[in-house]
Amino acid sequence: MSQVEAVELSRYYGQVCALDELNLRVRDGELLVIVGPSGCGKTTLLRLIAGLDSPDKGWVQIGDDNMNGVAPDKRRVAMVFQSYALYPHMSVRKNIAFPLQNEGLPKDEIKSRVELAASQLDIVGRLERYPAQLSGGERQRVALARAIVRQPRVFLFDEPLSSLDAGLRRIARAELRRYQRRLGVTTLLVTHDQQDALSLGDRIAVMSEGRIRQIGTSQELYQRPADTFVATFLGSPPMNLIEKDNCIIGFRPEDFVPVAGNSEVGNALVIPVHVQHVEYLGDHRRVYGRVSELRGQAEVVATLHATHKIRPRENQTLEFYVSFDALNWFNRHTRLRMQATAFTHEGMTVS
Amino acid sequence: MQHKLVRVLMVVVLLAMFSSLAAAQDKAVVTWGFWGSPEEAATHTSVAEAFMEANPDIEIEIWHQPWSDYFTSLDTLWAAGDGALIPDVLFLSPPIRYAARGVLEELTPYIEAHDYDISDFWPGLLEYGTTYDEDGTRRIWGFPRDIGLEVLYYNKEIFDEVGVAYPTDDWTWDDLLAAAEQLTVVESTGRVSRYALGMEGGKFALFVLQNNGGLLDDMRNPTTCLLDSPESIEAVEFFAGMMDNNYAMRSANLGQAGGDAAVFQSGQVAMIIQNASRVSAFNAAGMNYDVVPVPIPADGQRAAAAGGAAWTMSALSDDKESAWTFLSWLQSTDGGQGIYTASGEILPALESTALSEAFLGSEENPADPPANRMAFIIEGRNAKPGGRVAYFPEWGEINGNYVRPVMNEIWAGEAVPAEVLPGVCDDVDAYLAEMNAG
Amino acid sequence: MRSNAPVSRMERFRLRAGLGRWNPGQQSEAWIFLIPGLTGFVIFVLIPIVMSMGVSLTKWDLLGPPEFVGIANYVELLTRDRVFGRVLVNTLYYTVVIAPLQLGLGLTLATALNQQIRAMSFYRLIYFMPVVTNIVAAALVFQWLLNRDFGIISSIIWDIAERYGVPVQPPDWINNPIWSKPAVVLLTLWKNVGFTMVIYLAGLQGVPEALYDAARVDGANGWQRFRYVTIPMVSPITFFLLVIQMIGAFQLFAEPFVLFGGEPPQSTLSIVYYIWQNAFEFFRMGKATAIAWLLFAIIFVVTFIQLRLQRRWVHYEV
Repeated sequence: MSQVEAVELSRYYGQVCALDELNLRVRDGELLVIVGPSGCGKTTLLRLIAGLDSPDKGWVQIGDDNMNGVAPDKRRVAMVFQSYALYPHMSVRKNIAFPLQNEGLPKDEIKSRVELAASQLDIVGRLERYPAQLSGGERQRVALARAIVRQPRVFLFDEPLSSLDAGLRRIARAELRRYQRRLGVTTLLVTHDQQDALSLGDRIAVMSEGRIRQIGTSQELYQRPADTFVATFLGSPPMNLIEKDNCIIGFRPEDFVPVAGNSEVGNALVIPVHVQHVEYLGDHRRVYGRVSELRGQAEVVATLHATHKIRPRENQTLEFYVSFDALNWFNRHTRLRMQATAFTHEGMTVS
Repeated sequence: MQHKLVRVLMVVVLLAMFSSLAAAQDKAVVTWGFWGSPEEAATHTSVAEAFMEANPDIEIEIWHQPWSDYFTSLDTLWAAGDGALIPDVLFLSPPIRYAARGVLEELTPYIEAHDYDISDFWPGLLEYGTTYDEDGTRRIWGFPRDIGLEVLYYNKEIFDEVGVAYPTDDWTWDDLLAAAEQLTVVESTGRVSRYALGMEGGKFALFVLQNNGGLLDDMRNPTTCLLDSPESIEAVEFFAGMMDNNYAMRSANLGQAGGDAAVFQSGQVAMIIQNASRVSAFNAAGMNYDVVPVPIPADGQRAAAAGGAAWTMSALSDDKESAWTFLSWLQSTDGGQGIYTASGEILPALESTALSEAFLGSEENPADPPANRMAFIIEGRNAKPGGRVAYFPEWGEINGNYVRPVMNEIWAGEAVPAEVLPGVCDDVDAYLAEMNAG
Repeated sequence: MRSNAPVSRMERFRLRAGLGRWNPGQQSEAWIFLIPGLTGFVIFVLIPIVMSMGVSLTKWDLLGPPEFVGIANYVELLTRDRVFGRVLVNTLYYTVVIAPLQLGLGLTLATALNQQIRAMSFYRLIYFMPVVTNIVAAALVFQWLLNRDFGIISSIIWDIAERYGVPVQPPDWINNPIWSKPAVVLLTLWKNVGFTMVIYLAGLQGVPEALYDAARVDGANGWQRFRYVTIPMVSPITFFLLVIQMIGAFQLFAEPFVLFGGEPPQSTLSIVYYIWQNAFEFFRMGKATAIAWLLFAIIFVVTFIQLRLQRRWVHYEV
């Protein structure tokens, strides 16, 4: 059993609250991605789990053990840092062997374990090189090898992909996913990038202001966000939010489609939009507009497939619709999700 | 507007330059170079003024540098070789080193032409500024202003406190030792809170010569080192023994503690052996002290060194007669000698000056302490050429490389005189052999 | 129109940098720009260097005409001059002792002061102050502290001896050759360690924090983090300081001179002091410049060896 649990974990830096009674459980063997804007406390959470920092309240539990007061190296936790933090003056072999040397293991055991880790990560041919001679992806694998060589119960990744450019990043992401699966170690990965989060995680936790806003699979989070923060944090462009009465209606730009000609649209919310600006992005168009008939004025975005037969033009007023299934309802005050069943069918139409 | 101002200024400056030139033209100008502290410079200035009053047709221009820069600045001027910039009359030590470098005017012709009386100098003192040609021709290059005669200073209060009789003019080394034993205070921890004697290690040759030993066989044309003679070794052992017994402060500690004058004033030592230069400081501090001639061994001799920084004339002087007029006036009881002596800064080079009121005082105008000023005259009359004073330029290197370092080891208690002095002489002899061969 | 003729690398660089084609007619302008710098260099550096090489082959007292003696000065120094041998040994002692201590102490202090605690800049100031203190003033203070009879530190030792009846005595560091060199070392260290400390501090701030975190997770204790992260990460700085400090130690001059009140024991004299002595005390400019050239040769060789050895232990990659 090596699930990781954070229980009412709090950490303050002076007056600033980095973690606010946070609760989280990472299941055994899963890859949980924590995503949130910078400064949301996600790195602090990781450092507390690694033991590089200690909580002001609450505790971290790995397996059945309370980790408070346990030194980093005694937690059997491996951490991979943003920059990989490879020791630049050591060869790959020495980098991987470093944690074992600190444990004082015999030389031949170190050698065999280093080579095992290297073969698991396909870097046997790189063992005698120095970090500066490696590609970004290779460095990540060395960092991983250094992490697994101690046979940790938990992997912690701190923004492992952010130092790579877009092309490499996609490859590294896939590699990371593949090796994590192969090794099957409980993994907690922190990122500020929603693409990383959506594509990597078995589950995703969205964090903001020291709290977990929502935790679930990518699809759950994307389609059924628990509050307006999650709704706007995930997705690009973000979910459209329109205020109506005591509610906020949310819908994804790709679910917002012009009504074609005189065709009837059933089970859908129809909204007239004053088109302000259209972007052509190759496979799709992005339509920016204003919804004025609702309370106040709201900016909306629609993403249309490039082949869509209607091509909105600027300064045109068009009717767009969203099917009821695609609508999310939030409380206007708490900004939390409301159960759609609480509304009557009539209430969902705009008169 | 600005241009006008600049032009006016230029005219003013030019006028000022011409007027100073015009003023200079009807007077002979002698440039006079010396080093010294601000107080000493003040005395020098009053000397210049007295001279100009007596000789209205000669103007003295002063070229003054602190001691630390003096010789370097002169070397630079000489290297440049512009006679107009080099002072006409110069204070130098040792003069013959500069004579050997060819930068000095020989004074012998002037002495003869003007009948200047050189017999008034303390015996041997003039040798300090004299060289001899191979055929024996004597050439005088400089007039020592003063004579570096050591006397024994003693702190009367300490003697009174301990109850030791004051030193006398005929003290011997044994008397010195006997008093030292009583004056030294060593605490139970081994810390010395008062030494009997403070004397710079560099003055050791005084003891050596008193004991009939020597540094070199000839201080002008040396061939052999004498420091390994039994008399020399005995004298060095005497001095080193005083340090080993805590009677005398180790030389390096003395330097560290600020020098003999400082420890004498603070009462850390009861006696020092030093020349007259400390008198004004002790008087200014209001010390209760007196002096006697330096104690000598029972069968020894007085061995005052006949040497002192000298007035010289630049070979490149453009008005040598005026320079001589000034130089010979400087070196006369009624002129410079008298003024310097009255200021209390020097022990005069001329015996007549030392015996004058300027040094000994008079009934109406008694001299400042020390009371026993005759001690200086006793030492002066016994001064000898050679011995401690070298008249050849390589002595600086011999002393610096082979003698002084070993002597310092002795004074530090790290070397035994009888063991190391023969080695010193081996080094010195080898150097001399090479020097005389080359 | 630019021609399509093949262009050299230099040419391409010039074109890209907007300098246009190389025009031989522009050389004069280049020289005009170089003149101010070159003049100073030639007059005050190049000519004196060349001249000193010439002077070292002469016998010269600064005043008379130099007398050519060939390599006699060098022969004398290397075969007969025992003083030179002694000052050489002294200087090597200083170099071997001071440079490593300076570096070790500087790194230790820098590590201790590389923390976020209150009044840190005050502590840094305290350690750096001696660097900008006049050496003569510093040496005077040391004299007052350490003088065996009346110095402050010695007085404390004497007092302890007296009060508790312990038979201890303060070291006779000025008269005893076993203590005299360490006294110079002590003064030099105190005077200069702030410099190495400041440079190391700058270096330490360039070591990524993540490496220390990584080492902690990897189970490295405080010493191991220092040994396996800090030391290799600041090795380029260590190398720089080692070279600088070694050259500095070879050129040690003022410290023994002022510490021992103008007449330092020969056990403390350095090569540069001997140069000064020969030049301005003995007026042997030829021999003095010959020593200077020998010192240059020694420093050159030592620095060259260090440059060669650095590959083994200096890590420039970050």
